[in-house]
Amino acid sequence: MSEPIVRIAHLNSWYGRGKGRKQVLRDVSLELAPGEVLGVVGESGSGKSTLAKCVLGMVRDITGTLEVNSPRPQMVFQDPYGSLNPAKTVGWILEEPLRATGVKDKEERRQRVRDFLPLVGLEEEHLARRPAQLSGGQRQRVAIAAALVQGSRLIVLDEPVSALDVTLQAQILRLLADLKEELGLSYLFISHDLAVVYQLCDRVAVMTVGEIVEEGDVDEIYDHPRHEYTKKLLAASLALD
Amino acid sequence: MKVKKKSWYLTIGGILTACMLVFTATGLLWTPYSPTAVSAPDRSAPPSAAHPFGCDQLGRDVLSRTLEGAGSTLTIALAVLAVGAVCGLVIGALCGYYGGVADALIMRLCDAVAAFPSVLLALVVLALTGPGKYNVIGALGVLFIPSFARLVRGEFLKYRDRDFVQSARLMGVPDLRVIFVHILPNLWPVLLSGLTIGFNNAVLAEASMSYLGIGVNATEPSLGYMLKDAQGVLFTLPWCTIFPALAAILLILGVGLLGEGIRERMGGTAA
Amino acid sequence: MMLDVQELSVTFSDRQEPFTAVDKFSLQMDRGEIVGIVGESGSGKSMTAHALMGLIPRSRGLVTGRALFEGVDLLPLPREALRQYQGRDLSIIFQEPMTSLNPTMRIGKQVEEALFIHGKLSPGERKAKALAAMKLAGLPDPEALYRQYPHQLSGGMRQRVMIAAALVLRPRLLIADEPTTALDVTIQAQILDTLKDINRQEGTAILFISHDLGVVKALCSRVVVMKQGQIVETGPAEQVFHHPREDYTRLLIASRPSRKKLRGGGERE
Repeated sequence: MSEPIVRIAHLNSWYGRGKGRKQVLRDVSLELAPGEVLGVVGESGSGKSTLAKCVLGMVRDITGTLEVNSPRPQMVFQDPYGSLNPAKTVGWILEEPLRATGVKDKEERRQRVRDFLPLVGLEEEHLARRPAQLSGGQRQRVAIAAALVQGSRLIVLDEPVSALDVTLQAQILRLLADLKEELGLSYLFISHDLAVVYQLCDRVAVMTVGEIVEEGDVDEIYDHPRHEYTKKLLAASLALD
Repeated sequence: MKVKKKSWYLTIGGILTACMLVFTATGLLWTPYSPTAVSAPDRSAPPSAAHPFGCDQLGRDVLSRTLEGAGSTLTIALAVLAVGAVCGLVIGALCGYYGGVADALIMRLCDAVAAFPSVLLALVVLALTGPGKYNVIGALGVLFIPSFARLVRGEFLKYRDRDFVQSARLMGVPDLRVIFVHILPNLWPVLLSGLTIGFNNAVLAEASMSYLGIGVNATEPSLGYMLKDAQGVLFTLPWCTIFPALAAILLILGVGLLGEGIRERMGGTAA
Repeated sequence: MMLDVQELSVTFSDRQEPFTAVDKFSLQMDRGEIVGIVGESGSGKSMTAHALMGLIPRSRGLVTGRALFEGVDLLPLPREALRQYQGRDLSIIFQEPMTSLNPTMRIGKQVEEALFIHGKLSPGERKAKALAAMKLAGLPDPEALYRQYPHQLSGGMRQRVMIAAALVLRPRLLIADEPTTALDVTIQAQILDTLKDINRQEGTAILFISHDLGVVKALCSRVVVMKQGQIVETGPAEQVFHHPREDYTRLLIASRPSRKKLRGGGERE
């Protein structure tokens, strides 16, 4: 097996400072192999979003080991209404990651963006529109394209379908599965929804109050949960029956 | 969804502002008489075909002086606004985006400046530097910084943790580009209405300073200076007061309505 | 029959072109029944509930059709007359427990609110009724909570407070508009159990609106599937979920995340 793309060992993280400093992650350890999809499941306050931010280098107050062997990991956010700049056109939004990596030639940027569109199921006509003129599903496609256009191999998906209607959820999950195969991506999939996680992930880590209580192969955990919290979560997940 | 109504503010404000701009632009290029030429026979002449706005007690043509005065008032107001808005924008953007100790210090300084009545503070500054167009612009401009800084800072606080800003940072977009290219365009509606209010305040501030006799030089009349000049003859030669005052009022009203109209229009679509 | 909605339509005329959010919605509900309305965003499911509660301002939208509650048509009633029904006979709870509560008011006062509008009671009687409703809504230690403020409670607790406030007058119909969508799954399961208990104990009929088929299936005996303002399919929950007649219902069911693996490249296991 090749070197993991993410290796986390005994990671602790805090939020706030002084007296209000609170520990949000406790002794978290995990590994993500290239081409793998790892689900991180938990409820609000479990620390799963903090874990995602740590991987992206957005959290400073940490101790432990955190290795990310991929340049510029990107994130797809939950709310496609907030993750796209409302003042810009789709074309601009998709070119911006290329500008940031120093692709100076305008034509080259446009061409690379145009080449990318069919992969995420967008049309050239969408490029001139602003996010407000797109549907929720189209916006999430733009957000995914923007995360991928720099060529990142590691994508953190933070509840990428939670804000979408079920029929759209299915389409976006399908798209994510296809993109992963086609581009050889690795996903860290953050979600509260066990059913969604099951569909896309190879392995899953269950988090509650800052700790990973159980981690392993998806089928193994869904069929034979060992930890009480996992059992409770599975029992409450109505979509799985 | 916002109710779409025909906005009269925008139409009336636009027409009024356009008229006043044409009026002042004319004043910068051409006046029927020299604004400072004294003509003994026309002394205190009421409005007539030769002098539509009448003449003052020295026989100077009020129309020419109003044209010239509106021009210099407008230039000063715009310059003040430019100084205040540009500096305020940069300070507000950096403070709002980065936060921290520097932000706290600068904002307290802004509070301190804003706590003084602005005209009073400008008086002190001008007492030290002496009167003159550029000193007025400088003094008032600095006083306009805090309100813009606060406005822009508030907006940046709102935007700096938005997902699209975080996503730009993750892509490696440099901070200054995030600030001015990613976030700033989202501020246009707020900025525009801030600018229209600021413009009106600038016109009024210039007028009151000239009125107090510490504004522009006598050789270069502004609307405020004309009003000051005419206060002795307010009842005997009312046209010396009415026309420059009317010019100031229409200027402020036009821009004010325009701003209101823009706010109304943007209010429905601004995210 | 308790509720008889006949050809309810909601049309908004305040946009560029008139927009029909609900198109000829009909539904009959008996006492003590739990009926679910399922649909995606834009299906008109929430609008239907809002129209029934008289929450659509007449200046914005035109509501037509009939909504008979125990024989009385609610739709043409003036606001004051409608208020006599709201809270006492039918109540509504919303999705967002964070914004539905007034942050400056104590929990107890908010639960009691409806009692002020309907009839005169002594403070003691009001408190007794509020505590009973809070207990019914599954709130532990109502006495202590009575004096607390919303910010001291978790999201699940706040939703229970909303339920208590809606139940304080013991309405015969509770309209629940996505009440568990903003909550964690384990909390959601608890709230659904509570709603079932309330239905069993009090005989309160529940009109449950949700985008989530799993939730509706777990709770409701009858289901209405809506799409773009129209009813697609309606029937007993078991039948609709296991033998859907319409393609759209089938698509909704198939789109539900289930234990089925997605693999790239189009193949499925």
